[in-house]
Amino acid sequence: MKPLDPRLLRYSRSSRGFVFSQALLAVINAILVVGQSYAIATLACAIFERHQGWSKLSTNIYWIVALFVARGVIAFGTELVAAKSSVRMRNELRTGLLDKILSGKSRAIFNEGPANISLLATKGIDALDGYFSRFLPQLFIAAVVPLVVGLTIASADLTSGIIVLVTAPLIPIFGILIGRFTGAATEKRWQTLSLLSGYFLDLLTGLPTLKVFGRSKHQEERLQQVGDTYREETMKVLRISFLSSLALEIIATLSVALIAVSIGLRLVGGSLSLRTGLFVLICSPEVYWPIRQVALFFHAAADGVEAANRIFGIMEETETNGSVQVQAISEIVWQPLTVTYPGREIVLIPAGRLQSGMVNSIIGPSGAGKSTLLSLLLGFHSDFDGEIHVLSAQRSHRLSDLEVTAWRQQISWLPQEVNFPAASVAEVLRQSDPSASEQLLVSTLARVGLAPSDLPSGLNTQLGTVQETLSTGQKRKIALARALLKPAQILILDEPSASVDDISEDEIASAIAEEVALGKIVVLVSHRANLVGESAIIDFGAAK
Amino acid sequence: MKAIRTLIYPEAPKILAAAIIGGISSSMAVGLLACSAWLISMASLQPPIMVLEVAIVAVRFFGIGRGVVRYAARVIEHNSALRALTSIRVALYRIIENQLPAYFSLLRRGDLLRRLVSDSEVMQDLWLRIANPWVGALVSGVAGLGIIAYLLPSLSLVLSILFVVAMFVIPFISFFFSTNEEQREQEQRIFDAIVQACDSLQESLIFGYQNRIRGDISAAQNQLNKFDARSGLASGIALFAQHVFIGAAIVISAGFSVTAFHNHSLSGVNVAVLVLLPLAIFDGLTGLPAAFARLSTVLNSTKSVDALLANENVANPEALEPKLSIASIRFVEVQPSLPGIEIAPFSGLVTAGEPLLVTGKSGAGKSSLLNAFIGFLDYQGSMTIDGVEARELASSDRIELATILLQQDHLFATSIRENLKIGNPEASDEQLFEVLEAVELGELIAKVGLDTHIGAYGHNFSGGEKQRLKLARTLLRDKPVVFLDEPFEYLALDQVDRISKRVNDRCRDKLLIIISHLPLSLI
Repeated sequence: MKPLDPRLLRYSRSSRGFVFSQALLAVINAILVVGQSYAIATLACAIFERHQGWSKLSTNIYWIVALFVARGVIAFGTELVAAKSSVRMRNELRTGLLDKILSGKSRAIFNEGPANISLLATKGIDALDGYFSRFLPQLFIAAVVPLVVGLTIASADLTSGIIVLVTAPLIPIFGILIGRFTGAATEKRWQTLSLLSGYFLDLLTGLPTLKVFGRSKHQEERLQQVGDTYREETMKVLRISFLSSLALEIIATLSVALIAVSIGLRLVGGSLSLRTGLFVLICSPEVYWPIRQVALFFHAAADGVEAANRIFGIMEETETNGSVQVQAISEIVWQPLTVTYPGREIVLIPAGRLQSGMVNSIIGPSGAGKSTLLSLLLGFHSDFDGEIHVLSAQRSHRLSDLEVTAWRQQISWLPQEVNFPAASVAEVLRQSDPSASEQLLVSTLARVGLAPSDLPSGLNTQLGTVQETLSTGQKRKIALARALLKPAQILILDEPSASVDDISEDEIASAIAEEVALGKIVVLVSHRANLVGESAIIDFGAAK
Repeated sequence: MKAIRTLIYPEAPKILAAAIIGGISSSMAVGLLACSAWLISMASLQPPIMVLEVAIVAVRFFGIGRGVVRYAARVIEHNSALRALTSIRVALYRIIENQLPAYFSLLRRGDLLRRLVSDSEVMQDLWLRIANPWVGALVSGVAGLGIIAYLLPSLSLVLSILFVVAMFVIPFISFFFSTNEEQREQEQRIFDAIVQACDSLQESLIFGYQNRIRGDISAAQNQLNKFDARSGLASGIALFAQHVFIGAAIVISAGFSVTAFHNHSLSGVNVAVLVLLPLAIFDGLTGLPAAFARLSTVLNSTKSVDALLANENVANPEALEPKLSIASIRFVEVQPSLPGIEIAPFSGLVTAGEPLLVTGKSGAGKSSLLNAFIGFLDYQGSMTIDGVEARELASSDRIELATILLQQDHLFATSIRENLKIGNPEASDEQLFEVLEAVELGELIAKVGLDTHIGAYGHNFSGGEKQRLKLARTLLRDKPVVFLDEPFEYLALDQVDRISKRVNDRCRDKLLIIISHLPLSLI
């Protein structure tokens, strides 16, 4: 894990200005630290050694006031720039990630599933705030301040300078060693925490189930037990990591003490002036403190760094994409295919042929791979062995050579689980056919057995929002109407009659017949015999 | 602030104890600086080395002690924080469990639930990330001021006033300028839009919603950019104030020291001690801007958890003796009350051996009937169990009469065995397989094993397989009423025939109610 990932500069334009301004502020800060220490040491000496009265100290006092105000201004600027840039950089990364997601060409996104991706784009990117606005500014301070202060100490008192030169590098060296040693354990801790959070959420989601089985009280005790077990395990890991930061702190403290004692002894010997001694004493913690602080923030930023790594991984993914565009598609054919999902069983898909002007039924027991075949056709999954051929205008193309966005424009689809974007019914339907009149929308809904009066606010009923109160069956009917409205050559219907009442089933069957008559390639996955009727059949059961 | 009282108050004392120990560690840093300053000033007078020995030992003691005490504080603090997290979860679970009907609508929306969980977790920051740094700063500040009081009482009075002002002004500035309501709403809007975008991604790609979604999100982001400087402004101003406070304290210290030194009420070696101590006293304030910038977030989370806990305290009627058999349930013009939706009244009778089939159009309120039966929804009309009106019985008692398959039934992220045993904790493997055979899963489960994990890390069951697992779980529970909501979803018609016959056979002597949009022939 790199403290400053070069990919950040590539994917976030704001980050360049941010890096430059933070570096500049760190240098000014270092100079001010030195000036401040010098002014305070001079003041104390002027009072103690030279017995100067208040009137003669005024220049000194002005300097101190000016330096503290200046340091305050720099701290203010650093915070402001960091916070502003953090928002900008997170926005840029989020936009980049979303563009990648919405392009529909990233395999990682379909493989990881929507829940993980949305978590990454929300909580993951938010966790980067700690990295951007705390860790990175501190990293620059740690790179600049110890160097400037160390050099100043060396020029004021060589012996102290040598002690600094020998001891200061110990902190990053030990920090890295300890990090290597505890890295795996820390990672385990984050996993544990998210596991526990997931367990709790799972429990709450399933509460109605537990309740109807009379098992809900029982879980309270178990929740306590699981929490206690995880706490003990986490504490074991934390103790190691706290011990390691104790080690770093002791190195820093002993180094300062070493300098202080050496100064003291040389003062007794008379080989050093009090002013230099005090100056070095005030300066020396500033060498060790920022380096230690980086290590501290690094742990806090670990979440964000982890998220950044995954985001960059997705952004860097090469898009496998063809360029061929086809218009009139007459047929889709394939020999047996094997599909592999990472970490799951291999899915076998029997040979098949989808023809225009007829219903092509896909049947077979649940779990046989019917949905997998659909996701290959829809371009949501592209890791498979074999070839799917698309016939258009007497020519055969491989599906993998087609430009996927143009290909998807040729397809209309009713998914098994419907997820609408946040929009009204009319807006959702018009996405399929922007020029559709209200009359056409109403008549299409009627084809699937739904009247606007069945919906709480008619065509203006909002979908995909918290207030959505439609039943599963109603949502599927709207989704079916949307699929029928899209002027596409291929119509894929996944269980069109699931959750839909008996009365509507006949209406759906006749709607399908109408689409077939238009010469479309209709692909139907269904368990209902009366829908299947006369059609070409691809049987997943026969393949086993 | 009920949420604070019930959820996070119990762990406060331990976490605050950790804060005080942390403060002692910072106090040692104060001691370290004071000793070093004295040591150097004294050394410059070139006294016998013996005089310095004590100070050298003290410097080492404070130096190492600070780290060790800090270690102890961190261990205690994190241990209590983790303990608090568990107790928050248990308390929250207890409240929701008691009030399930009230939270029913909440549970239907996964994101609301997720928000509740994260809000309740944020609440513990009130002690850990806000109260703790403040208490720590207070303890070390008092220690430093104590040393000054010993050396020069008049100075300590003035610095104490300055310190107290800083302790309130700096947190106030960062709280005042930090994240506000509008900004949080914008962030939430972006979050919601992203979750929606990811969930509906596949449909977006086929139907071309991408531009719409992109537009929504970038509009929300532009709104958010207006606030980008705000949070930095808060901690920036607070940090600026801190530096000004330190500078002022040093100047005041110097002023008092000069006067006291000249009229011999202060020994010269202590001048450096007094001039340097403000650095250490005010150093504890460094963490406060970040801490109090978080306060409004925490208060807001507390408020939303509070709102959810507001409808607590529904009386729990006393439990009845569990009934072993019921002769009939009669529905007369039952109309479940669902806000904003008119549900057609339902009438029907179910007796042993005479199953009741509830059919109807999608959206007609079939599932609401089940929810009314178990008391998750109110109803109008009459629903009598052996002549007793259902609403006279507690929800928990009605649930005890029946084994139920909910439409939103949940399979937990654990093994198949654990999931099935929710139906009957005492069931043997033979019993489990007997029911699995009935739903035609025996062969598959025998192959993958009962210990297979469900979900992302185990076997990926198809929709139909999951549905049959849930049905098996419901059938494992032995109750006089069997109430099934759409039990045969995603199954092939011939399979529906076979399984529904078996279900009917198993429930011969029970009251069987099935909600389904399929034409079932049960008798």
